[in-house]
Amino acid sequence: MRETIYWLLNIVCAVVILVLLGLHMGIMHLDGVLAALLNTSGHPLAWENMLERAGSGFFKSTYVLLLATALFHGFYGLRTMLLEYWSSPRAEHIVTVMCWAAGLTLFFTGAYVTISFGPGAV
Amino acid sequence: MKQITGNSNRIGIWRWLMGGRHGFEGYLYVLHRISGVALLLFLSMHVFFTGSRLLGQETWERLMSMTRGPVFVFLEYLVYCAFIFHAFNGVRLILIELGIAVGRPDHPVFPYRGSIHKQRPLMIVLMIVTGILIALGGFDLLRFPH
Amino acid sequence: MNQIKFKIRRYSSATDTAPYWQTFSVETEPGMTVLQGLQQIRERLDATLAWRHSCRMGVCGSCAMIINSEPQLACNTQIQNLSAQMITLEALWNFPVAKDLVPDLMPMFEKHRDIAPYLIRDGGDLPKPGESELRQSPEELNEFLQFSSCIKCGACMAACPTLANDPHFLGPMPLTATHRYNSDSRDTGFSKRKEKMDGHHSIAHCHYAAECTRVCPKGVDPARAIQLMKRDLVLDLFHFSRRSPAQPCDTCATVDHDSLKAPVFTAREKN
Repeated sequence: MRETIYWLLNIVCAVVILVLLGLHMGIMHLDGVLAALLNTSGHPLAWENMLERAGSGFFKSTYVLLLATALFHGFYGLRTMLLEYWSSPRAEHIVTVMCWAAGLTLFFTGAYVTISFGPGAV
Repeated sequence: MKQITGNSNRIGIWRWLMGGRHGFEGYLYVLHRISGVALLLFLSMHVFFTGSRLLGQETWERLMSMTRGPVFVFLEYLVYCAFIFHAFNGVRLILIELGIAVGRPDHPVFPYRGSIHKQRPLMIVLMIVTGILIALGGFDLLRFPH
Repeated sequence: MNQIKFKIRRYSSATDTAPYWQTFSVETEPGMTVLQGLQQIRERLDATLAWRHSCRMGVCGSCAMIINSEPQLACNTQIQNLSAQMITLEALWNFPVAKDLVPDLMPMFEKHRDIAPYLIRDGGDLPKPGESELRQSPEELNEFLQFSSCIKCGACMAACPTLANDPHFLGPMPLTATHRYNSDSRDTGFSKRKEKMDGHHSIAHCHYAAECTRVCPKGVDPARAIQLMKRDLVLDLFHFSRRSPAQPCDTCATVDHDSLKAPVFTAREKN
C-alpha cells in the first residue's frame, strides 16, 4: 500500500498547507489590515518583529510543521512528474531517493534556522 | 504477439500544451503542474533566503533591500498567483480525488453528462475566487508598493 | 457536393522509416461521416490507405483515430459537424502504429488482461446456472453499469496526458475495467487487484485532467471510475469495507426457467 499511503499523505499535507500557508501569507502580506485590526506595528519583515515571532513557540512549531508538509507535498508532486518520464524500476528508485534527500536537506536546513534563531541567538 | 516498435506515436510532454485540444479541466491540470513546480522552486529559495537571518541583522537587511526591486516584486506577484491558483484548484482536486465531487455512476445516455459536469459548478466558483484574489493582489501591489 | 481536404499521417512499419503527411480531396455531402470519406479515398484515389473498421455505427470501437487533434470514432463523426475545410487524421496517439491509421492496441489489451477483468469469487467458482444465483439489486447494478459500456476503442488512452509520457501507466481503459469489476457486488477480487491499483504507474498518477471522460464516445467516464477507486483504496486502507459481497441464494431453483425464456423465433415461425 506504499503508493496509496504516499498519495494520501500528500492530500493530508495539502489540507495542512492550506490552513498554515493561509495564515503565513496573511501575517506576512496583509500587514496593513492586521495593523488596523490587531494594533500591530511595523513591517512583518522588520528585524524586531522577526525576533518577536522567533521567540514564540507557536510560530516556531507552525513554521516547522508548514515546512515539513510543504516539502513533502512539493517533492511528492515532483517525483510523480519525474516518474512519468523515467519509468524504469531503477529510475524509480533513484528519483525516490533523490527526492527524499533533497526534501530532508531542505527540511533540516529550514528547521535549524527556525529553531536556532531567537532573541538570544544572534 | 510481436510488438511493433517502428513508431511509438507517444505524444509526450507536447500533449500538455499543444498536442491536441483540451477541455477546460485539461488546461487546469497543466497549470496545476506548472504552478506546483514554480512553488517548489520558490520554497527551496525561500528556505535559503530566510536562513540568512542567522548571519545577523546587517546581512538580513541588505538581502531584504535587494528584494524590493521591481523585477523581484513582479516575480513575487507571480509566486502569489501560482499559490492562489494552486490552492483553490487544489481544493477542487482534493474533493475530486477522494471521490466526493465526481458524483455517483450514472446511466450513459446521450448526451453524456458525466463527472466533468458534476464538478463544473465547483470549478467555476473556485476559479472566480482565484481570479478575484489574483486581481486584488495585483491591485495591492500597484497601490501599495513595498 | 463539397470538396474537403483529408490530410492523413501515413506510415507503414514494414516499409517506412518515418511517418509522412499526404493530402486527398474528398467529395462530401450532408450526413457523410469521416469513415465514408476514407472509404471514398480507398475506392477512388489510393487503395493502399489502411484503417480499421467493422460495424460503422459506434458499437465495435475499431475506427477510433485522431480527427482534427481529438480522439474520436471515424464512424461517429460527421464531416459537416467538424466545420473545417481540412480534416487531419492520425492513428491514435500513445500506441505504436501498425500502418497508416491502424494503431497496435496490444499494449492496452495486455494491461487489461493484467488487472483480471472478470468476476473473481473467493473460495470457489461462481454458482452454476440453474442451481443458485447471486442476487443483485438495481442500485448494486448501477454501481458498475456505466463502466461496463466500454467498447475498448482506445480513445481515452490516446487522450490521457499521463500515458502520453509514461508508457507503463495502466491508462484509463484498464483502470476503468478494474473499477467495473471491483464495484460489482458479485465480485470479491478487490484484494487481488489491489497490487495493480496501488503500484507505480497506476491510479496515483491520475490527477483528473478528465480528457478520457471528455473524449469517450460511449459516456463511460473513466476519470470518475478512477477517482471512485481511489476512495475505495482509502476506505480499504482504514479497513472500512464498503459492502458485503452478494451471497448465493437458492430461491432461483424454484423458478421455472423455461417459462422465462424469451420467445425468440415466434415471429419467424408465423411467417
